Amino acid sequence: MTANSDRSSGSGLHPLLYYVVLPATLFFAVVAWSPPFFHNSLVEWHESWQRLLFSRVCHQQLDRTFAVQGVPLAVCSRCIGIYSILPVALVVFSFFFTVLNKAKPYIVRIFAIVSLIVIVDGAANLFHLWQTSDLIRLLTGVFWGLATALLLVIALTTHRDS
Amino acid sequence: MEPVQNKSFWNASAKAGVVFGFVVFLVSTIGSYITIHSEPTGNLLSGTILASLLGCLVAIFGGVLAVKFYINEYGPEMKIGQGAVIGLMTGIVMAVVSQILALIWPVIDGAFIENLQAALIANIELSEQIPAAQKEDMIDGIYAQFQNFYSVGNILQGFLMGVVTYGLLNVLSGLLAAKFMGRNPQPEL
Repeated sequence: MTANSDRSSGSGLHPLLYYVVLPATLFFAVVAWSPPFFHNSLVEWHESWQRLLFSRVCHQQLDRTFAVQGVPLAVCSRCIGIYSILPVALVVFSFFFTVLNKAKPYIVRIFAIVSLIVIVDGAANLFHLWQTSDLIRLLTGVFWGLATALLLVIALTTHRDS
Repeated sequence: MEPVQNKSFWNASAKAGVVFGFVVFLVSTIGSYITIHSEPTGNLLSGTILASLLGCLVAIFGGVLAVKFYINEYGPEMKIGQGAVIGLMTGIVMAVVSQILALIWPVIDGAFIENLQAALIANIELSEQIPAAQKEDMIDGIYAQFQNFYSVGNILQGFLMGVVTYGLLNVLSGLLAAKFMGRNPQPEL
């Protein structure tokens, strides 16, 4: 696979997107969804390598994690939104990278605002200020995943400002 | 001008990896002590929530700090790929450092493993989310997990998981840091 390029603007997408970032995000997405397809009970889930892999970066609370036939996914509802949308958004946004680069300052601000929303909601849930539903958590995760994908695509556009 | 390829990133990766490996270990250990000293709630992973949330936020900044160290040492000229490699190496160092500290800590606090095991089992016993029939198996699993704490398999597994998680997350943060903090190398004339 070759990197997209736009000869008129002298810019293209860095091969890192296709050879490292996209496979890495795809790997995380597949692993996050995989426990219900490999395990039959909570016991197996608890001992699974998929749960262990994400245990460093996700709380994996059972009451905040989607389950398929009684077996939870490897990450919480917010994280599954992030990991699921990230590879899809990277592929979609990579087709529009020249347009996105023109909106670079806005994208950085969008990322900052969405990150703030996720942090505030996460902290508020943690300290019992309010409790958001799994659907809202999923949506905040999806939006954060989209904002991260935007940021990664403009970061991986090879024509950079000095 | 010195060619960019000759600039070693090891120093920056090692420094940031050690710092964040320690921070990640600290956050995780504090989370474990919260579990130990809290009343059991029946939530399987209750005490680790704070640790996981902070751990996630903290872990991704290793690559950013390493890129910052690199820029301080050699100046802002760097390729995005270099940022990704710096992030990857930082993640690996973080995994090694946090794993070593996690193995040393139970030697310093001799009751740590026993207390954590007891707290986790108390939470499982109170849990309403785990079917009664599965509780016994899960408790057996926790016993086995802590009995094998110092086994080679357990250590290698922990290291591998750390390398994959911290390594890949810091590849992303490293390349983003290179993009936003660095500058394209000027072509040599």
